[in-house]
Amino acid sequence: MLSFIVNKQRVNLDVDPSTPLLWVLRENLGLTGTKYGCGMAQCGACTVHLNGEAVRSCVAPVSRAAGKEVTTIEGLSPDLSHPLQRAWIAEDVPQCGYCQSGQLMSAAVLLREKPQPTDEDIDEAMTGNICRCGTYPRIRKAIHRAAGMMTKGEAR
Amino acid sequence: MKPLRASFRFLAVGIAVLIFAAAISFSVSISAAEKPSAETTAFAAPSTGDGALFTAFVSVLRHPRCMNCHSRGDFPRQGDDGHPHAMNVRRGPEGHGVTAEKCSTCHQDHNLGAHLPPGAPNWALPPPATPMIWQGLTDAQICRSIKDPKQNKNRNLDQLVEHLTEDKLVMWGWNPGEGRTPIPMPHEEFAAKVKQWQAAGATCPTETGKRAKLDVPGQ
Repeated sequence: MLSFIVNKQRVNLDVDPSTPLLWVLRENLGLTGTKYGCGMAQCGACTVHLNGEAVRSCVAPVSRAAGKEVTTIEGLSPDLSHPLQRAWIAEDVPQCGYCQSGQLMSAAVLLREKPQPTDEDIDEAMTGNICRCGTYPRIRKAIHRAAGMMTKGEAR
Repeated sequence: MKPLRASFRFLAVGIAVLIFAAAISFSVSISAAEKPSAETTAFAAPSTGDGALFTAFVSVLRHPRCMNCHSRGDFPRQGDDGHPHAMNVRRGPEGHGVTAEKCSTCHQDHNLGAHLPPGAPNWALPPPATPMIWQGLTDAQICRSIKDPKQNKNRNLDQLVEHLTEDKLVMWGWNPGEGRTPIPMPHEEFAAKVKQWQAAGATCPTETGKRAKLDVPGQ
């Protein structure tokens, strides 16, 4: 039995400890906002937070989450009020949208550690998150916009 | 006269036999002295002088499995050609990457299989304060740098030898997972050579040692 917290809710699961965390999130817990992209930590679509750090859930065994706290896109905010979510909507970032939950989760770690990121900071944080639609310029713009909101005290 | 001549002949033959026996005995003792004992034969270095005990295992430190994290630039490298790590991965303030691209974002504490990220406990680069860069250094410079506590995270010789021979991240080099070339020198042989070097005083080679092979233009 594995026990950990997902989006502030404790879960106890009887699963194979080597199961990828992504499978457990999607199949066992129904949290389908996190996407399966490449399955080999190459695209970033499956990014979630494990104790606040970005993790590719497609390759992280669920055993790694035992006793820890997982946050998915569903838990980033209860009401789409996270500055990044608001900036994403304001900049109309997504095209197909498939990679965007992973993009947002990576961007959230970036802003926590660097509240006023430069373009270089954004490149260093986000290069592992691939977007086939090429929404990178809008992602960059939205991250800067969210950083601005947080500076003005609009952060939640 | 006959008995006297016979005894001279006997004496001459006896002396000749003694000289021959002494020569054989001397030859055998020289061979025994030159030949290493059974205990040291397997991993013996060609010589113990001039840092030879260090150069006997420096090829391991120069292997891509080690050098990819001990190379120039604030980023790790990949493959046997030492190309920069995909995804713009950086060293970061503690050697664990930056913000949303830390080592542990993708790497686990174990290998995952073919085409998947390799892993070992404490997967990381040396921290920026002590980056332990060997790329482009001579054997002598590598030797001095790994022994220097100011460069090696304040390790003494025992701790350095422990890192080289027992650290699970270092030992990953012998079990890098499918699709990666393992370090060719057996780990047992490497560890014995490192300990042999330590026991003999951890002498470094002189400056004429060869330079690292992994020199990527423009990096």
